[in-house]
Amino acid sequence: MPAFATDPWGAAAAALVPRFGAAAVELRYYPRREVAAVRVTAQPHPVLARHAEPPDPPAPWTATAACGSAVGWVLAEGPPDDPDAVDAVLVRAVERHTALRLQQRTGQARALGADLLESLTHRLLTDVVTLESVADGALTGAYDGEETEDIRHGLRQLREAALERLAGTRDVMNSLRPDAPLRPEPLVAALTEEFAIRDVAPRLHVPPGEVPTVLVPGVGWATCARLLADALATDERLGGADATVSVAAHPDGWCVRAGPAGAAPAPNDESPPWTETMVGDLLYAGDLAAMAGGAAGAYALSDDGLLVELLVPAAAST
Amino acid sequence: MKRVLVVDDHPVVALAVKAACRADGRFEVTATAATARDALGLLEGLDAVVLDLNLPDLQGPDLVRAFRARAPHVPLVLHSADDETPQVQAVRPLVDAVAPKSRSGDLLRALRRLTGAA
Repeated sequence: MPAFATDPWGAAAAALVPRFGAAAVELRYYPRREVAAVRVTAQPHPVLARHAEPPDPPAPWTATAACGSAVGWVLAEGPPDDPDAVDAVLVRAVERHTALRLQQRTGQARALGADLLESLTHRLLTDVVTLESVADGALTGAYDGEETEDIRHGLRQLREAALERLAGTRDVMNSLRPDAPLRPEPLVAALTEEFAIRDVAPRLHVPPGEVPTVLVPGVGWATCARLLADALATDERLGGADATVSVAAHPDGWCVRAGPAGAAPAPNDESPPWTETMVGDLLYAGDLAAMAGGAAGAYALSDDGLLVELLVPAAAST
Repeated sequence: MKRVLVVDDHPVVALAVKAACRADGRFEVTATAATARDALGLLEGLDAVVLDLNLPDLQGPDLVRAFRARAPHVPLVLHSADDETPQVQAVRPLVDAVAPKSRSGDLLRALRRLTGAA
């Protein structure tokens, strides 16, 4: 997911791991204290089983550093040779990652917000002009009986599409409200429920032993899952009967990838802007994920396929 | 009767243009298309194309150039919701006329001029 991939932890891990000898070490981080501790890297293997643990996860040896509301943890199977040196590296890594993350998220939110507004206003302008053109034809008596019925049907569709667009935009903007509801939601259960409702059955891959839980303010992950199920049911670019949905651990939460079976972005493939033109009604799912602190990416495949990725902030697994 | 292709992803707009052409009596909308891909396969034997600038699969100058490349001699009327946008201004030199979607009279006048329909 190059659009929001960062590896601020690589240097920290390189400096820390040798200090623990052969003991396993992992780094965890979360931008808000008291929510979760998400694994960003582990060497040579994880210390704890789950990707997203409750804050202050237990381990034989731990260290913690904070930057504003963000917290980072070092967990290890045993003590390091120099705890002060480990603390220093952790503090710098948490500060650096928090600053970079803030820059990245701010830039992404601005771009998505601007595109959302442009998309909405352009479509509303088009709708107004469409109504004007219909009125123009009606006033000049251009329509015969069959055309009148077709236009009536078309106007109903226009109304429904406009209402959906307004509702989607409102959902995204309301998710930014400080008092927006925020509750952990089971990622996979929401997907399977929506897939059943839409009667779609993509192959679903989830890391063994994990029950991913996510945090999306406002209308929540359930709405993202509904939009993804709708897209899988209607957008053949996502693979139709051969579609695959995979859930993978990511340093910033959980990455949900949907597309034709076996599809993957080319190495170093830059994700183009997440726009309605690119992803259709999935626009709002990506915007909700991004406004929540995650991200969204889409890749046009060489055979007219489409691969989409939603990075969703994690809550502690239950 | 002059043969016209209407390319617009909004079916109501295509219907309105079709009705306006029928009522005018000099034009027949022989086909409508909602995507560039579909439209580019329908360019044989046309007298004019009425084209929306923002199609789901192609937009802006790339869209206009695709039509020009496939049918360089077929008059192209850009059918625009707002002809003052930078996007429309950018493609204005590439098309034969720009007509606002809100006024069918302007579109019909452009079609008459470009096709020589009496």
